[in-house]
Amino acid sequence: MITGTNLAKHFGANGFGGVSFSVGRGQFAGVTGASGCGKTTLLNILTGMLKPDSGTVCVDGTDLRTLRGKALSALRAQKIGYMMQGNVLLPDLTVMQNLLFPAQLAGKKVTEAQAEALAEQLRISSILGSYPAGISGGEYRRVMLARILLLDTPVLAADEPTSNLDSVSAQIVREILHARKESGVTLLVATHDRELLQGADTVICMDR
Amino acid sequence: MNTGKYALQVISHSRFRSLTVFLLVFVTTVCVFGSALFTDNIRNGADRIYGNTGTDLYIVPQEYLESTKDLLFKGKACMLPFKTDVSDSIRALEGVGAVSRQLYLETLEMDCCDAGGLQIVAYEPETDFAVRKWTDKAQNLGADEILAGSAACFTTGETVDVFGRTFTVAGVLDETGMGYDQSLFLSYEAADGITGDADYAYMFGQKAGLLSMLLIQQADGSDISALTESVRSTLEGSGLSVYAIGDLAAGMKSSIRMMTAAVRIMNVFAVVIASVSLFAMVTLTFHQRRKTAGSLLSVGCTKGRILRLFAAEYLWLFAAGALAGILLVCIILLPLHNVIKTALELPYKLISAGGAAAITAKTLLTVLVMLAAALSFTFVRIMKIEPALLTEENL
Repeated sequence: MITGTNLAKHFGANGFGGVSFSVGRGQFAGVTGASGCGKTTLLNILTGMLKPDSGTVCVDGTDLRTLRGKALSALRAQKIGYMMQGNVLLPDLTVMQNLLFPAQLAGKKVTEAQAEALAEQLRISSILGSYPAGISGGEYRRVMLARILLLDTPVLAADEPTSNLDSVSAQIVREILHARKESGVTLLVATHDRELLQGADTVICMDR
Repeated sequence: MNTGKYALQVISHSRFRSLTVFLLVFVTTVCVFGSALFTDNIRNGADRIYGNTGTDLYIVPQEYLESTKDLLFKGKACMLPFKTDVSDSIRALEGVGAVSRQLYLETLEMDCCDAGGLQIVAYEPETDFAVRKWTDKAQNLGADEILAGSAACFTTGETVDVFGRTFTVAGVLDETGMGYDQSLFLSYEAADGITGDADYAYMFGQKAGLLSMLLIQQADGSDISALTESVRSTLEGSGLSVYAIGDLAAGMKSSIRMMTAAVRIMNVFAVVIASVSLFAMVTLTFHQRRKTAGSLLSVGCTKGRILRLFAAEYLWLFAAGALAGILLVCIILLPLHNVIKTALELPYKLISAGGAAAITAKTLLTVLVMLAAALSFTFVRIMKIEPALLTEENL
């Protein structure tokens, strides 16, 4: 269960306030709204990557404000896999290494075969030996999603997972996310993709 | 993939950045290690002269003072003839422990060495207290035997032709750091044979018992000032003067001071430039490193692990750069130290292995502290930023 209460965050004139919601285990919560309304900021707060100006976030009853250092890292490694919006692959590792290394850091045993199977599903098998600088924007997004999926966390947060993708790849991503939801994973997805939002249990609409 | 392997992967992929850090570490190491070793070798050479000659006072002809200094400190060959032998009257003075005679001859050109003559030092094995400091063989040198200075390019057992006579090299002196290193040593008996030879009458006047320098060792408990004064009185009107080693080395001390100060200034300058460059490079790569840190934090990596990943990369480069720098300095300074000594015209002696190890440790620590400071600076700056903001393009 993830609960946000009276969340507020401001960057100068931009930001949001008074956001409250609750997402049960295995549910799919979509976050939508106009560009710049704070969807990414909200996901950052929910994953403990950003502190709110006010309000609280509780994950399975634990107030994120009480977590520091290793405990916060453990939350990200064990509970909430987060596909960020920016380009955050490690530039000095190959795509395959980018898939395996985070799981290794999180103390999870992920085999190359598992990574290859997921890469096949996401149609990125041909670039496993490439470096991030040498792949396209759409491939980059799919690699970012794959590295989070391999962490196999009970909560999956994704920021615009279908942006920059062709229709076939976008459909594959939607199917994978829905399949995860069906397997009991809680989804928090910020997106403009209406097709993806169709399967959401809760949609949080944000205004500027 | 462990921390070390990750660091190696980053180094091999980010080649330009890695090469820059490597070169900065390399240059800093060469500057710090090279200058420290160089100045310590000079100091060691000077210390040897002050501490290891075993001679408290030297008597030399006044008019040949500069030649004496050149011979003692720079290894420049020369001949210093005494007009009168004052050794007996000096030996009789109160406070004199021992007196030993030395005669300096310059050989004709020799095939083995560079153009020009080689310095021959004739000494009395029975009264000597100076040469024996550097070899046990000095006390029992035969008339057909010769000792070689450490830089005189001879080995034990070899035969050497000097003034038409063949000598066997009975031993090689330990490095003295003085002009003795380029000299050959023979007994007075052998020297008398040469100077008394009719073939060299044009050089030595066919005279035996010539003398160039008297070395005086004070008696235990005697006062050196009083002894110097009484020697000076004895020498009055003889054209000879008495000097302590410090007096003879006064000009050289000043040269050493200037040389070491100049090297130190260059060293500080180079280290400052290397440090500034390192920090500039760290600042320039801050953007990439903060994104890496943000990426790692987003998948649950701890700050400590991130620090270890960054540190491992720097440590590999530190080890490679420092090792290469130390090797280069050793390759230049060790085999060429005799050439350097001759070129410097200053006392120069390699310091002991322990001393070199201490300088190496000091150098490694200096460079390591510099790198640690650069790394800490980057890391602290990154960790002050909220994880979500680390990955943003325009922070």
